[in-house]
Amino acid sequence: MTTAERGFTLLELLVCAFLLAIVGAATAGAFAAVARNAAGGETRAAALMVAENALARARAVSAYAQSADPSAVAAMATDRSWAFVPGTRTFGAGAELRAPAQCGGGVPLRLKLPVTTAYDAARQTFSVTVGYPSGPCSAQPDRSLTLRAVLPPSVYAPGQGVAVPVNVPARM
Amino acid sequence: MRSSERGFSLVEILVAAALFALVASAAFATLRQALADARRLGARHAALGALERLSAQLRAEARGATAIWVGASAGGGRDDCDQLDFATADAGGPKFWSYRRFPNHAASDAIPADVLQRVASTVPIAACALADPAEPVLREVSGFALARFDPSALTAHADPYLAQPDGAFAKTVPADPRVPLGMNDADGKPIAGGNTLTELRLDTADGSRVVDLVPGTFPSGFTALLTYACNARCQVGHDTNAPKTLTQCAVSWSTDPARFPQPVQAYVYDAATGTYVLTAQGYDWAVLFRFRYFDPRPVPPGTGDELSRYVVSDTFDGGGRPAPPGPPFDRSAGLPDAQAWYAALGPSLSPAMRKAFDDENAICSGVNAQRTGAGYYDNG
Repeated sequence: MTTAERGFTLLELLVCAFLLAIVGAATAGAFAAVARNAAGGETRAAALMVAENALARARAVSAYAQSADPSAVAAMATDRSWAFVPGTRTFGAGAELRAPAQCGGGVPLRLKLPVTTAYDAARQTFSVTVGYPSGPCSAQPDRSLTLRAVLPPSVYAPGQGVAVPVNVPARM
Repeated sequence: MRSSERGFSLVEILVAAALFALVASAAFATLRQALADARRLGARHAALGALERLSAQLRAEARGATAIWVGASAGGGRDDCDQLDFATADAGGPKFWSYRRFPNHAASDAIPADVLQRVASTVPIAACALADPAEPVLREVSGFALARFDPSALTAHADPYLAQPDGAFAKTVPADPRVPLGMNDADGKPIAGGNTLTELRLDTADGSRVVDLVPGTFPSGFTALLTYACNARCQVGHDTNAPKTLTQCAVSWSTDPARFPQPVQAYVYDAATGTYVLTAQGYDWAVLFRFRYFDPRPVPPGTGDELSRYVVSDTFDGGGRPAPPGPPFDRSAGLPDAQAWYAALGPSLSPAMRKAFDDENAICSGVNAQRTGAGYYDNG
């Protein structure tokens, strides 16, 4: 009987099964990694939301304010540091992930993300850094993202209306 | 025969088939589960993507808006809605758009409660108008909450999820009035709030987002809102939020006591003697001129009292200026024409008083002279 007619030995079958198991495990691992990355993207999106909201509030804070002293208006318009606490500030910001099956729970997962803000008066730059967990089932932030925005002097002096008088149309 | 040449027995075949069936069924179940998970994951990513896109769209639209405000907050009424309004204006004219949800609607309604819709128009959008042509922009919405924060409230702003302060970076912002933006909403109220933060929370089955919106005009925008420096016909409106052309004016006078800091005393015609009698000692009296302006918009035209301006005359105490010359008018016989009154008694008024009357009277006369013949704009 030739070798080709002999069939497989048990050892060959075991080796084959072992290789298949390894390939299967690797495939399953890849699926799991994809799922983890997708979930990690959610936490990053939540952190991005927090950072963008902080920037929006920073813009709103420095947009307008009244000054009782007219001579201070020009200074306030060119230097917006009056609107921000000097140095860095930290606080917690919330986010909610709605993937009940992800972490074995049936309720939305609420995260508390650490936020650090800083205003650079010289560069008129406001920055916000938000920490977030790479996985949705972990509450421990191990990554962070930073957004910066330049808050330039407004063309409108603080406390001043934005209305610009113009001549009325002839038929008015 | 050697064992290798013997082939498989029936028992071996059966055992092998059973094992294969077990493994195959387990593999099939796993594969089916994997496919279902993949479908769910795909649907969830699509839903989250829609939520992300809407959030990004809202932020982008905010950058192009000059005003963002909460147009309506739903109560218990069936057709109540939560409505977020945007407005801007450019050379093409004003533009308005809104996002709204009807939380008390049933799933069988034409606009189910889980639909967030967008309405756009070139005129102000009325709150919760069901007939508006609207585009559904997000489905399976379970929450759409809106809140407004004036700048002075931002230091105390609280995170909507944690209910903890998150305005630590802001100094105490002085109280700041909302900025009038020169436009009216659907109710005719001036739109303001360009310096105001509007916060919305959007919940779906797959995600939750909070989006803080500030109109892009402030502070780094360069869009100037123009207000017309009116001529006489709309100057009288003094309403830069809604400049309009007024077409009629009428002036009258009275001695309305409520308008005077002290009791008004006037001459009364005594029919028995045929003379005018002062009701009290001295010449302590004053007159209120009322200039009433009308615009063409009310129905029927000209019936709406669009604006009244008052000019109060001096009070004559008898010690300073001379007494009014000539016979005073008989109040008991009805009020005489104000222009005739002014022609007769105006010279006795102080220069400042006469200027105030003359200025307003010129405007009034100009309005009446032009009427609607020269054309007009309903609303600037």
